[in-house]
Amino acid sequence: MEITIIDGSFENDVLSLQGKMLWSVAPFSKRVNLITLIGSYLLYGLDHTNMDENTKFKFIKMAIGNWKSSMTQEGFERGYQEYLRVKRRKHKTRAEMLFINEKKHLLEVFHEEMLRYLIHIEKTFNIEELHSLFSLPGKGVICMYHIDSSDEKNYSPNDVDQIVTTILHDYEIPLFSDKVEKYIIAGENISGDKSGDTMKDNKVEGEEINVFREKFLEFVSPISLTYNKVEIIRNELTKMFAPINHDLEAFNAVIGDNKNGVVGLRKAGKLYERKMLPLVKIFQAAVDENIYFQQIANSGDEMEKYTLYYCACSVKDLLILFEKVSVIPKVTIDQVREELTGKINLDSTTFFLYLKTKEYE
Amino acid sequence: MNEENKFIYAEISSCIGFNEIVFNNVDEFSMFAEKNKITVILKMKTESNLSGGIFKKDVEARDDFLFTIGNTAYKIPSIGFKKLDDYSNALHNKFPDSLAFYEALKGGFTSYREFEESKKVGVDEKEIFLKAKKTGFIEGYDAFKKIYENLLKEPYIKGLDEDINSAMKLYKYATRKGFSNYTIFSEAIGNGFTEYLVYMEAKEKGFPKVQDYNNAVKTGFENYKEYLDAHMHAILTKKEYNHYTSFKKNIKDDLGYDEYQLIDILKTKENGDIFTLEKVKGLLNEAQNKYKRATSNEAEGKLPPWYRKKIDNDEYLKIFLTENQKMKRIGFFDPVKESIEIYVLSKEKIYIDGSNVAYNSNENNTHKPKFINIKYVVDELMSRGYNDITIIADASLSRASEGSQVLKELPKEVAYLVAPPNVTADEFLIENAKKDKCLIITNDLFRDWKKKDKWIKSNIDKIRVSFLIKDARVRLAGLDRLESEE
Repeated sequence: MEITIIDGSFENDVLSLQGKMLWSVAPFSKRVNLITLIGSYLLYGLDHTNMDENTKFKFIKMAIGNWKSSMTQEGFERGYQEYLRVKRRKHKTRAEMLFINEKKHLLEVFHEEMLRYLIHIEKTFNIEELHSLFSLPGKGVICMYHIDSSDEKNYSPNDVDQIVTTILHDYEIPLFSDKVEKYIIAGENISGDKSGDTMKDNKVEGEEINVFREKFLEFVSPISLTYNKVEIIRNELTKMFAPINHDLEAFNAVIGDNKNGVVGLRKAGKLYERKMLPLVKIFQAAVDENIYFQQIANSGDEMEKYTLYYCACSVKDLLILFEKVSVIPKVTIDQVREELTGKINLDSTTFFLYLKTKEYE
Repeated sequence: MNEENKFIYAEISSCIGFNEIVFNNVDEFSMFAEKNKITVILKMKTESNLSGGIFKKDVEARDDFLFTIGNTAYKIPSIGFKKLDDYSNALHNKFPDSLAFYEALKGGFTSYREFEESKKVGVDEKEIFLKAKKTGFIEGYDAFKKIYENLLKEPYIKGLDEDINSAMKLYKYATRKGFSNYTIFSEAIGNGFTEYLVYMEAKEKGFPKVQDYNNAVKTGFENYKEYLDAHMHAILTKKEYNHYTSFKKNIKDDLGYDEYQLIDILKTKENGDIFTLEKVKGLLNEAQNKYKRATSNEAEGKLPPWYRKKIDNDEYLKIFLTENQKMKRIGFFDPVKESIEIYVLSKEKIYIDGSNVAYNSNENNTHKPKFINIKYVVDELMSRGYNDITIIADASLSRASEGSQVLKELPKEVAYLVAPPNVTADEFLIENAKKDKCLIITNDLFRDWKKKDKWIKSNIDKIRVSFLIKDARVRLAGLDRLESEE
């Protein structure tokens, strides 16, 4: 199973949430695809030596919007376009040469600022401890992708491609934040977990989505783990998670063929109970018994408890969640819908996880 | 063995009518063939009970390598070798027979000695054998064998395979667990560690043994020193240890942790609040809950042994509330009502017994009172941070005193009040100071008032600060003491 975190929010305060989402799945996932603001920063850090000027410009423009800098994104873009225009001229005047050097220097200043900010992000969210797992798309454990998403008028082919791929692959499962609870209504679940009741408070009326929901895993926030401990935990847990991976993919494939609806969701619930729950329970026990999770819990430090919920809904409804929760522009979601039509039935069942955090007691 | 094949081989099934010359040495046979420019070596195919036509050493060789020159067939028994080069290599590398030679060849071995050695340690591939040898596992296996049985019996060693019966299996096991050489592996396994990363993590944090490391980590500890200290004090978790060290850091004297907590609780209460003994015990109990350990048979949990408990009964509690210096600064315990009134003295407001200070009572009221004495005290108090100073005096003072001009020069933070006509200045002073929870600067011992009023008897000395004025300099020993206690 690959976890895909797609989030099109660009506000500074989402970095913390995106960091937590990454940490919530990093200890046991075969792979995490990070298509978020934080992923864009990390990708820049990982690959900037291979980036051409245009790509660097694209990343820096995204960051400027995020920095509360005196330079606006529009101003930066205008300056860059002017720089390109002058640079392309065959016979440059001395003034033009000076202009080019000045802009190059400015780009370099912003580049240094990007790297400084990246270090700040890594330190703030303890992400530096995950550094050895970082990789370029498709290669290692935590794969970083750039997120475009902000254009409200024109769709982003890059984002469309990411969402379509996630939906079409049985082994990929999207992870949302608990903002998802504003939009879902969970039916009866297996474990009799009542936390669904608390979701009612913040509902966005008229936009609720029916889902099958079951508590998947619960553990103390691993965010304080060191690199060594992450490695040790991953050595143990990824092996233990392998059968769940396998069965979850098979389960997703079987249920995915069902039409979504009350019957479909009930069927998903029953099959989950029979096929998945015993495995998940074994894995949960392994997590509970893991000495490093126990260490965090007994450290006396302030910490959070993470709960991952496993949900089933229709593809159509999942697209609504991508739009509302992941803040992907409607124009991009419409394009995703168009690309999926003909490939799969939009009423068929699909799956997602979401992370709920609360103070650890 | 890597030498390029010199000959092409062809199988034949019969060779009749030739004179025969049989060679005894394969190298001589090859050399003779080369000298005669022979390129094709014939191989007589005969039936064999052994697969692939390979013969064991003792089995009579019935197939031959041969070539002919004229009417003479030159032969040498193949004894199971497929090629002359193989035969020659086997001979030079001391292989006993073709079976051993070809078996070794499959694993990449060229030397019979290495092949034999690897077979002994359970390795069938030369590359792995060489790696295992280079990393010390071949040599180390004998030492490991001696401790292996005991290691398997240790309940705290997790993840040790039960079938490590050869150096090869040891090598494969250790490398699977992340160890790259036997020295580190033996050091780790000797201390119970079966995973390289875990061992390195434990070593870095100073843990020599796996039992200690696992216990420490499970209970939240990060380093060995803290874990040992906690262990010594029967502390169960890092969270408990944090509580313990916090008490140790904050309590410099032999105050009980319960006494410290009680002071901590009561000092945050509102001035004027009154708490009965039962309520005080309830507050303390509530605060102690965070330190209690859950027990299976007690709903409330139990304080851990490291928690220095001194308040064992009501009598002790009463004495503590009445006599402890820190408690005295927080409130007054009423032994009759068995309650404590929070009475935290103001650090900004203070009262001056105007007449007493003006007379500078050390001089036994023999001289005329001087307002300048009040000015000296006001200046001293302001330099100590008091910004709300009230002077209370008899109406007669202003008539009797010298230097009334001083009163007009007092700063705006200072109020000069005269006791109402039907109230004595002492009574007015004590009542106000009590109400506002302030200190009084006076050398008056209020002996008469102590006889009349129980509160004054018990508490007046706690709010009274005596003074000494000499050569325009003021000493407030009581304030010095209070400030140093804070």
